Amino acid sequence: MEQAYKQYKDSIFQFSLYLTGDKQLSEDIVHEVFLKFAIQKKQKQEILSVKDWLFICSRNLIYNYLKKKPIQYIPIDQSDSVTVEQKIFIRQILGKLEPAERELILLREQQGYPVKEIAAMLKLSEEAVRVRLFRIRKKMQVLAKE
Amino acid sequence: MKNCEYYQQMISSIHDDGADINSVEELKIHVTDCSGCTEFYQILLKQSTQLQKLPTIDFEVEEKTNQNIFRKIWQTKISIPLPAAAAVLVFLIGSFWLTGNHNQAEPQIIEVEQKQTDYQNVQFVKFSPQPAVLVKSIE
Repeated sequence: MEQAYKQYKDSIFQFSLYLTGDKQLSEDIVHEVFLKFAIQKKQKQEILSVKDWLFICSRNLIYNYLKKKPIQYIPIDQSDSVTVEQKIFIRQILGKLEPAERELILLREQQGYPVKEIAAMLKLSEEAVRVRLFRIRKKMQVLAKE
Repeated sequence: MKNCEYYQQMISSIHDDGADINSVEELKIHVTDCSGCTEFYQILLKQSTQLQKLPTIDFEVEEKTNQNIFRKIWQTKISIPLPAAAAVLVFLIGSFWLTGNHNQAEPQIIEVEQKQTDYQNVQFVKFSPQPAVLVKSIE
């Protein structure tokens, strides 16, 4: 349990942060996900992949939240380590994608999930995932030119 | 005649999954003559890199909070058997306490000498934590 927490808390936090735009909420989501994970383990329900289970759980929690309060902004670290180019990319491109689009592109690029696994997680066909990723990339290129 | 949309989708798919050699060859021929698709590919690579290197914001949860969450998890784990565990614990403590009192309820009587008892001179001497000892005085 603690090992899974140490191993995946940062990934889930980053994923949640760029999807919700709320740091406090993302921290809460990380805690809630692991609480649900502990309950799941206690009930001895089978978990095939811990990482996938944690991401799907966090995704469901995020969508429950987004129903109540739509995303407004993506927080950007104001430190010098974040370049101007990164800030522009986050504000003008990533921040303007729909949550479902952002989720898909983050799972693929930020988290490095292969198309096959994304399809299984989101209950879509692999071809549907590829087509959606292509449309998102097109949209991102249009946003970059604005 | 396949249009740029087709090739750009192919570029996106190859970026995700890789592709067979025939597709790559076909794509290379198209991209050589198409500035639009070349640009699409270059921007895709750039944005992909940007997404992979998104600034990470620290998960600033103090150790105390971590302890709290694990305490919460621990409480969740024992939530169901807690009443049963509490009942067993109360039973055990009760039994132990009653057994202990039962021994103390009967003080030992030491008859120093078998003589006629003078109840006015009877003294109770208590040695803690031993049970009270009744000592009969000797004439």
